[in-house]
Amino acid sequence: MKDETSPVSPDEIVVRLIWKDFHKPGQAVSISEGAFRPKPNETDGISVFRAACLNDPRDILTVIASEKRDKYALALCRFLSCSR
Amino acid sequence: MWDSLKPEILARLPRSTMNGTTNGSHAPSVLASPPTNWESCLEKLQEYRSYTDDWDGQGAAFGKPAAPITGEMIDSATALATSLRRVGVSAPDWTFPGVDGTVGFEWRLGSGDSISLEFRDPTMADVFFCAADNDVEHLILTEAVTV
Repeated sequence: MKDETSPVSPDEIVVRLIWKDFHKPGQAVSISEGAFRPKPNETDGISVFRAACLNDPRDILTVIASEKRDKYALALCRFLSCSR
Repeated sequence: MWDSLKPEILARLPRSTMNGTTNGSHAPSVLASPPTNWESCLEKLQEYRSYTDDWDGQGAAFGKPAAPITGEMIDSATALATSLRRVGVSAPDWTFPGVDGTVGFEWRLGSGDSISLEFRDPTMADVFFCAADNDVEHLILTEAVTV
């Protein structure tokens, strides 16, 4: 597992928390663009987690109030795609 | 409310026939997926009435709780959805809440383009026409106010 202070490599996977209404399995495009739009508190970019720094991507759900965790999906994206 | 919609915006929204299927021959835009229905959009909006402070559960971790979605916001979005439906616009592919207490609609078009309508407040919405090549055009939809 990588240290969070280590440089991000182009092939890394980053994880974005997706609220349930931005995700529709089965659609031609299953995630809304809105899921990747910066939130008001994301003034210098969108928040993602580095999968390489986690034992399991699902671990990031622990930042969410426990009763809300089932309202989220996780989008795993290549860092290279995010940084274009 | 929202009885008068800007023609330059309305003309660019995807259209549906009465039975809910996309009318490609006359539509200014064609959806990427089979259209959803307005009932599910309206149901979502009603669900958001229960979205109170910190509805997304991220407040404790990130310090700024999601703002509640007010009844006024939902009433306005419902009125706009009803107006769009009445004039034959396809239901949005996505109806979503905003952490700043707003709501939005998004249409994904077959061309790869998308249209996003995001309320700024109950009387104003930003409309983004996003081309597949990342070009974005921004228009503002405002509710006419009678004085």
